[in-house]
Amino acid sequence: MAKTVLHKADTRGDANHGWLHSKHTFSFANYYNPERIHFGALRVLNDDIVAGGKGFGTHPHDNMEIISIPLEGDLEHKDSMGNVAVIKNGEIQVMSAGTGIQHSEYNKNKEEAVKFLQIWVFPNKKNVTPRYDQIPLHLEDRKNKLQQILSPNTEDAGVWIHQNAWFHLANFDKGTATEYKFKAKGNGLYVFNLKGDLKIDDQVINTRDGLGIWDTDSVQITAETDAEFLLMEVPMAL
Amino acid sequence: MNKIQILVIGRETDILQTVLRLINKNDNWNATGTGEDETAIEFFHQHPYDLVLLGGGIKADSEIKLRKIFTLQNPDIKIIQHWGGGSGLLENEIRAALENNEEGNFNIVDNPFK
Repeated sequence: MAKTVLHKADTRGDANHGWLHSKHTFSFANYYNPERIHFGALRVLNDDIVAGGKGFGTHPHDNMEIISIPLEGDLEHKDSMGNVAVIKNGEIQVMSAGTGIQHSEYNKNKEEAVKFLQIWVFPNKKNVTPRYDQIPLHLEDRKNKLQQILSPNTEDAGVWIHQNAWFHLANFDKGTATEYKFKAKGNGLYVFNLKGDLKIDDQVINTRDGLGIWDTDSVQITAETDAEFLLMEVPMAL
Repeated sequence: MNKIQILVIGRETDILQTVLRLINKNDNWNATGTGEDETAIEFFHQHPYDLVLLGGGIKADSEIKLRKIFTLQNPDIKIIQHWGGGSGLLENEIRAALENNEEGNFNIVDNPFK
């Protein structure tokens, strides 16, 4: 029997710093909820809005797989490995922080806010060599189908990370349905609904709700309305 | 009220300094840190710590040695891995450890999921 955990959108941690408005699905920074620390290897899911021209100054990271998915606007990234890049909607960025990196992230646009998801996954090995990657994604490849955007495999579709994890994005018309089959035994699936209403097996979730499912091999996903969503399959055993 | 005493060990100097600065912003916590195992052991002998935070870059043999020495000296000492190297998880990890909440405190030497 599958187990589930539902995180309604309005129960997320809410941090409004003026220049940054962040919704935390899991405990992060000043938001601490001992019952919402992680979903398996998925540790951070932040739904961020950064005001025009503002951003995160240079700061360090280590031992974490950090994935950024822009939803609207342009995000400028600079890091201690010499990477300078702008990522925008339709792209995905990944950093393996490993032994340590410094980076900054700013809204490239002075007028418009940038909206993006910041996702942290525990690595399956510590102290790896830091790395950075960014790739474009083709929006048409997620129309009424699941588009793989991340995996553990360097040769597979999307970016790769040091973890037995698979992410997919999808943009479904109302009524579209699919079955998601887990890639690895012992993994769980966290569904983050970006927009619309979805039915995951028998559970309906709305915009910005999150649903974790584990102890099952597959789930049935149906768009109750036009819907955009992110699937994150991660190891559950810690 | 006595401050919670925290020993931080991390190989990357900039990250270690950032972590110490962030911890010491909390009026109830006091952190000291080093990048060297021997200095950490010396600190641990000299001061009664409540919590040890292991940062990035510590290899498995060092971590095993440090855990053994610290636990022999104080069987109740809490030793946790700090993940992420900055502000995001730091306060959460310390609070969870002080509350004996094991969620999110993954203390496995090499692979947290083995």
